[in-house]
Amino acid sequence: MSRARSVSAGIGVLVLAVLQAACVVPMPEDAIFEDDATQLQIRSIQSREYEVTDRIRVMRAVIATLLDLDFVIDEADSDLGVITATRMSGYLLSATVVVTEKDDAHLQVRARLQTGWTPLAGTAVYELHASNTVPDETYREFFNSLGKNLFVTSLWNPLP
Amino acid sequence: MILEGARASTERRDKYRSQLVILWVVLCLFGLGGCTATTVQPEDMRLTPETTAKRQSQMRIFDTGNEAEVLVAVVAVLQDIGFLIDESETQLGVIVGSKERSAIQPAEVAASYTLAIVATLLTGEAVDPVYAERQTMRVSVVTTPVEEKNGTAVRVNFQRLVFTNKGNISRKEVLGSDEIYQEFFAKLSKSLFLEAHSQ
Repeated sequence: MSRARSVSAGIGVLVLAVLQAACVVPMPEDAIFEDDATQLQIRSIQSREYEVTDRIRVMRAVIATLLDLDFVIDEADSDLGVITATRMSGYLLSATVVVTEKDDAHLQVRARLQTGWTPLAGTAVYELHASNTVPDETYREFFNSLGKNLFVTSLWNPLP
Repeated sequence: MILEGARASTERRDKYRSQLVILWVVLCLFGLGGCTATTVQPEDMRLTPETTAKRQSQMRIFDTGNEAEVLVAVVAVLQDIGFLIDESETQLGVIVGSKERSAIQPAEVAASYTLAIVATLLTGEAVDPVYAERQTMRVSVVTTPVEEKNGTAVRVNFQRLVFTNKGNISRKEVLGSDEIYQEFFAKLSKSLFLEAHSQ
């Protein structure tokens, strides 16, 4: 009797294990393409074109703007036109800005802002949840500030 | 009699536990009230009159048009004050450094252990002490040629990440009082002088 009971218990455990293995929920892979907006919308929000041809001048203006906005520069590569920076006032905000040639007379600046996490934090778990979206208005404000630094003020002089 | 004693003890513990929860909620509310925003605020990306003051205290113009010489002096100063160089980009005039130091403060550790012991006694569950253990300080220095004045502008800013003994971030902040900037630029002046006279 007890042998039959232990055999049936063993079968039960086996069935449960098989069921659990079958019930492993796959992680959705659509996080790679997480934004609902179209590519065109995303690019128009995150990019601005400027009638300037001096890429280094624009990159220096980007760096000055990031410093004005309390970012500390992480990396800068003049060959690729890439600048990354992190802001740590109140919340974490990482910025990747890329300056590329649009045509003979224009340069394009594209910024991508990410909040809630920074590579600098290493393995620390921090603030990474769905509500950490960056409002479109943030990009408008950033490009307005960049425009002022690029055309209105001298980077070494106080702002007007 | 024993049962009644046990019941009274359980009721007392439940009472303490609910009082502790209320205390935590009140502390959290005070904490939230005193903190800055924790989500992205678009207006944080706007240049303001305060930006002017900040730029003035973070920046100095040195009387040399040789930007590379200034960058070398900057690297030397950062090394003098214990930073490791993480990134340098001559064409853009960018130097990035960081250093890691202990963040342990005996008073905070003692308070944390006391709180953990009290919480453990009140709730009946083991509560681990949490305190600041290490900090990463970061600095970026950016140079800009000032052709009209035949000079080079240098701008510096610092920030800090503090990690707890559990490995989580307990604090993230911009560092920089006027005194810090003044001291940095005094060291940079000296470094430029030393670099100029060592050749």
